[in-house]
Amino acid sequence: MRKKLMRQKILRRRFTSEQEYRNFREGLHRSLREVLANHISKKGDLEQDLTMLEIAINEAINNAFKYAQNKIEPSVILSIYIFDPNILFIRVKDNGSGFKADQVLAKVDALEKSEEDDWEWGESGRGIFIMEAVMDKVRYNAKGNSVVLLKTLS
Amino acid sequence: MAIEINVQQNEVHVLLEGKIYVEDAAVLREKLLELLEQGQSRFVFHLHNLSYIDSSGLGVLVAIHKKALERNGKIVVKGLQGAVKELFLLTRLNKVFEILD
Repeated sequence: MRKKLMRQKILRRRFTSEQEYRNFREGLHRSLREVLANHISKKGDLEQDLTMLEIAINEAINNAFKYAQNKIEPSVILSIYIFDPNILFIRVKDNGSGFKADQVLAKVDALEKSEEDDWEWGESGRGIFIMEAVMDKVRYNAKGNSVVLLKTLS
Repeated sequence: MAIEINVQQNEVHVLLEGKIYVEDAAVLREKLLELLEQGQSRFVFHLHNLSYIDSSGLGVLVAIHKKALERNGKIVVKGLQGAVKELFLLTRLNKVFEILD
């Protein structure tokens, strides 16, 4: 019999303004610190890991608010789960009409492979690149209004 | 977040402390663009006590860098450490700006 994949909910919050998310940042920081403290066993710089993770999440959130075309009534949902035993799952979904994530990702991939020092890209490109560098996997849906970030904690 | 700006002998010293989030990056952009308009083109960023920055803040530095270069100026970044240093290395911005300790 297949073992059921255990899922632990860390948080799920909906934000209807950037200000609302700003007010939540400290709470997010505390939740992420607890997750990392519980799941990372290697000796290392917890503060640095925590900051990099916060950066990756904020890139996704900033993008969501930026591309949420419905700016009058924006809605951004942040969900964080741990899948047994140690996969961190983060999803950021907005109510906008999305953006051309596949084109931006292709550009980011091409830049990564280039040898040039001076990477020319827009802010969104740099943000997505940072997400990809910090996390193990970054997957947008076809519409481009939902992104899943995965990282194995060890 | 704290942004402290001192102009000394045609050099703009920018001290960034704490966390520069997206809304702080917008404030920083305004302040620096104003200085560029006043004719400043040499910027020294002191990041010893900066604990957070993301692509919104990095984007501001890159934008100011481009405008400064057009005016034969430059950007120097000092005090990279911790996650901020890791981020500069990841995005190769350490090769774009002049980096000093």
